[in-house]
Amino acid sequence: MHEATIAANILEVVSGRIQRLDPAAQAKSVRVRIGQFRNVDSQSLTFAFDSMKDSYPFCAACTLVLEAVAAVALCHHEKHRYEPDPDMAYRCPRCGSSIGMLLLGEELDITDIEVEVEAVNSEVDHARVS
Amino acid sequence: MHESVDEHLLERLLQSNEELAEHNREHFEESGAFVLNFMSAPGAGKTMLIAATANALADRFRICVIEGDMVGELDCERLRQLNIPAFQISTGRSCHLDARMIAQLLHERQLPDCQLMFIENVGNLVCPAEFPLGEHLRIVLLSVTEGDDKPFKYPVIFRKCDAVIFTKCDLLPHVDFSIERASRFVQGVNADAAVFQVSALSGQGLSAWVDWLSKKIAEGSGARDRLLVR
Repeated sequence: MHEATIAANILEVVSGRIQRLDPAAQAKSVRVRIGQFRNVDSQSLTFAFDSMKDSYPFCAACTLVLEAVAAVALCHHEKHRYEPDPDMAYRCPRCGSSIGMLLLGEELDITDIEVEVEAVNSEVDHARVS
Repeated sequence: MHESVDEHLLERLLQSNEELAEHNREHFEESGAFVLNFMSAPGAGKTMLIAATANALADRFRICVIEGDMVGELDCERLRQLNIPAFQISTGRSCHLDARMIAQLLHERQLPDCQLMFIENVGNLVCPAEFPLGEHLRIVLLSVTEGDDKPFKYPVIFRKCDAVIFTKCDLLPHVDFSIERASRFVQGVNADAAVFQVSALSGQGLSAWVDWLSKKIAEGSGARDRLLVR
């Protein structure tokens, strides 16, 4: 259940950034990219995130948006790209060699935070922080 | 009014763990300790293999063990009875050790001056893979009673290790476990992993593992390049 640790880490980043950039804002959504080879269960992560978000400033109304990234490997021998398939024991479908370098599939990143800003004239602004 | 900023945020998660792992690593290197992170499912025989390995190397290295368990000090007590210095980290609700727990222990307790340190992670084939601790080598144990398909089902931890040890091999005649099939699954996700067949109970295969480890300690090499690589 390391998803709880990751959820807390996401909330710390979101809360910390809003604190630094605009403490009048509230987080609306946070987008997280998760590679297939990162051992993260998306349902557990969402459950942990929603259970914990009330405890973090600016995050009570934040929605977690997950983007799954399928693994892409580079074959050792033939230098072509392929998607490692469990049914092939993750080996190269052409030559049967083991997984070499993963070009994609090990991501665990926040890529976007959307905030809602209460403007001076009471209009609501939507903005992204970066 | 809507406003959108084109520049995308890209913030790596769990980065603070990796930074603390690097801090631990510097601490280990300053003190001259070569550190192994032992990972496996519960009951694969980590404590027993650590005891057998420590026994085989006791004449050559000063040895110390950090034990990670959710509750209690049973494994520590087993090791202390064998005169192996052992220190407990009770993780409470957490199903893995992380670099912060190791850093805290290093700062709060006076660990004996050692040259070889074993860190026994909490029994779990999933979460520990995501949390480097500052170790030089990652060792994954798979007992033959668990089934030969585990490297296929849990590819991440087997992909991120330096060696895989099939344990309890004295039980091979009694269980449906194919060393060839398990090795093929390991090689599928990690062609570089060394693979050993050991029984800590009978001593079978222990010398091959101990010889390999001794060579690695002498080389001072291991997972350094991998520590911060994702």
